Amino acid sequence: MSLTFKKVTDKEVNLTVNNNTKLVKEKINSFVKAYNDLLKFSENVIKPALDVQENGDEKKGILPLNSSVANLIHGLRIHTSNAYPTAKNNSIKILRMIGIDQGSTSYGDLNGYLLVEEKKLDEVLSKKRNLVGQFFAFDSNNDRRLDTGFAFKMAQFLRTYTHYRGVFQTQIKGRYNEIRRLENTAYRIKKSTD
Amino acid sequence: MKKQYNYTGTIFLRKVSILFSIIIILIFTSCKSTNAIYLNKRSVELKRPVEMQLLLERLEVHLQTIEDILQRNRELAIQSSNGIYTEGDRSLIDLEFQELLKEICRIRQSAHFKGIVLLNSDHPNWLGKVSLKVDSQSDLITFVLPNFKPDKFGVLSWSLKPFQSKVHVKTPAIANDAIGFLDKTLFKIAFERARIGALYNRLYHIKNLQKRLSKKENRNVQLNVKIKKQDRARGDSKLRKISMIQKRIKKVKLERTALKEIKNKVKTLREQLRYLYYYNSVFKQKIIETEPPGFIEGNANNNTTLGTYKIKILKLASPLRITSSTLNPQRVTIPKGKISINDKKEMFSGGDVYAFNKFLNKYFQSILLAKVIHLNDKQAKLILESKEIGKNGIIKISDPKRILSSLNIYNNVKIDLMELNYKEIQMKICLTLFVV
Repeated sequence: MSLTFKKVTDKEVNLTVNNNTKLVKEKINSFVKAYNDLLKFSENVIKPALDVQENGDEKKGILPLNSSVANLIHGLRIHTSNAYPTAKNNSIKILRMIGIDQGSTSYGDLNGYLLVEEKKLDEVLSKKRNLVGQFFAFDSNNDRRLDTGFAFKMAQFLRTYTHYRGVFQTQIKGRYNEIRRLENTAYRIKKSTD
Repeated sequence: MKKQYNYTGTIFLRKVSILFSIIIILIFTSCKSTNAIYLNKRSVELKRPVEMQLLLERLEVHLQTIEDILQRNRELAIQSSNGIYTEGDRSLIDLEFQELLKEICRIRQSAHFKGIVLLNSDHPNWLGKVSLKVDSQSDLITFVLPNFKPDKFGVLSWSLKPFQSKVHVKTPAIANDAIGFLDKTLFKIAFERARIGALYNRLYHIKNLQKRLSKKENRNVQLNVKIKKQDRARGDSKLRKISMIQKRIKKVKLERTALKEIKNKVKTLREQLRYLYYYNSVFKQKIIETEPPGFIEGNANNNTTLGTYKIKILKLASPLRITSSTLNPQRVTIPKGKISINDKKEMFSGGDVYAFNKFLNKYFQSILLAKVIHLNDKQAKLILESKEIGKNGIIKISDPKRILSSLNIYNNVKIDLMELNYKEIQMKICLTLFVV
């Protein structure tokens, strides 16, 4: 603990060391935002031509029917809806129990997007903060290594996509090579015309 | 009587022939509208890759919706098996579950593309597969339409009248079984969608090849017509080709940007998740709060014990000072030499106290503040004051040429320079300054 004293005091000051619940809430909200952002972008990108927009325009995605993106969406939704094993006394096993809704009967139109119920999240964090932590990452076999939990499993799943030889990097490299090949071809044609 | 019979017979024959011709026209127009030829009862042949792509897109939209519904059902099953729900709550969850199963049955029934039934294998017009004849030389490209069995979706039959389901989520144990069941079904749907995606991409290349070939053929025709026009046509075709390539480059660049964007978004999401589970998890982090606020600021590391402490601040730390002995600034001359303060080395070219004061303020202004304080006309003192307060304000001086000792600046820290080596001086100065 490091302290900086700002002023001389007349009487004793109460200094309390607490868990940083505000930061936890902030990070959970940032996660939900990042998740929804990714899901929305991915869904738009693989949209086939038949998917007609509300205003009647047909707008095709940039990568229609790309199976890697489709698998990513599938995986994201599976991981957010899964239940995760936690300690015996821990009743928190799914996202919904900490106030992150995926569409209950009252939020039926969420369609896979996440929604934070602030009130419920505050309540759970104030009463069962450690259990929420266990839900995100948990050492199920007591070997001092995290091996399950929502955040742990999901980060593991996403690694396939962010790795430098991962699914997307391979496709990006393929596109890069194609652009170079096409540019060379265009250059050769242009040269032969001149 | 006989005549009347013949007349009725003629009318009957005429009616039959009209009906027959209507049927033929209907079959012909339906084939023409889909640009398809029905080979037999179990297959349909398309001629253009675009047609096949459109069919696949339509199929993909249906499967995507079915997958969305199954995902939702899976969420409901997980809720039912894990949540603290009453029997009544679970019945309500099951209501939505069954309703969504019905919707899958309905989508399966209604899925079609220009008269081709896509998913309903019970329909009399169900063909089972769709073929594409790219050209007369190559074999047919056949796409087998997905044939979903009702038991794989948790229903006894696809019929909605009466709707009979065999999967429900009314109890935690059964809901748990339903999760495993739905996982298998979701895998099947994902497989079918991957199959569609793969063929869709293949068709893109077929289309590209056809385009290139047709352009080449056109050019050959033109070559045979007029020699003069030939060069112009070649030039035009080259320009067209370049513009086509540029169009393609633009498209691929867009695709690459989209992929990069997705990758970055996945990275962001992963980073956010790491805050929630990694060794620097936010769940371990502590915060310091004071009552009343504004007196103390600070940070607590992850191992700090939780609790409340009472603190009274009696005195705040001040800047650290070191002063020379009283000297006559006009008479004292400081020799030239190197001086190092807090590992920053500078060369002093020699001069009086004012020059030395200027030198210190110029080169070490981030560390200390040098002042010449006049006591009277002939007496003054040089004061070095640290910029920081407390521990951070410790000044480490290296003075191999004894420049500062010529000002008797060490007198106040009570060190016998003759007896101590340089390192000891530095240490003692530090300690003394800190105590001051």
